[in-house]
Amino acid sequence: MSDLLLRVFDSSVVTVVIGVALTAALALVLRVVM
Amino acid sequence: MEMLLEVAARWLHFLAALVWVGHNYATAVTRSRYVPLTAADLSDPDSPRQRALMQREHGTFRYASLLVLGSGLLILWERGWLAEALSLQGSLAPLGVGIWLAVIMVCNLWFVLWPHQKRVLGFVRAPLDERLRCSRVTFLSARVNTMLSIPVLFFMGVGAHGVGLFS
Repeated sequence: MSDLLLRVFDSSVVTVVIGVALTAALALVLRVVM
Repeated sequence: MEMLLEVAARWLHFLAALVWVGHNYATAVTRSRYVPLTAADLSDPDSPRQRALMQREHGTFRYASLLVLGSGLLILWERGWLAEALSLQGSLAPLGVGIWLAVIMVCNLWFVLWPHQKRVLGFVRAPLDERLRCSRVTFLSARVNTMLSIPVLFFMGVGAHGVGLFS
């Protein structure tokens, strides 16, 4: 299961998309907290 | 003198970051899809992939990561901002988020990627199937750092030029 999940990183495009999504999520949390 | 030190540290910070993260981005472009190593790649030291691996492993980007972290912390310490940034206080909180993500990246590089890569390259003796397993771990570890570099760059930029977004 975990190996299946980690396969998302096999594509560099998906890696970048996850990075952008993580950025948005963290920025949102920070904005709410600050 | 203090100004000169800060400018030099910032310059070093940018240069080392380009070397380190640039290595990850270059790999993401040249190997956009995962291609697993095979037993033949590793058992023959003259195989094209083994030679490519050896050429990539020269330590530059690993030491660049330490320069990035060290110079960044030096700049903050010199300004008296280090404790506030690391504890995510006030307007330095966005910068602090970026720093902690960068710390995770450096730890990932030195404590996950590098020990496994040593086995892949044969610097540490390991059976062939273990080396193949380690090659998968090094790939994933590098990809995690590529992914984390995106928010790090965002929070570095915002921390210096866009704190208003969060207030």
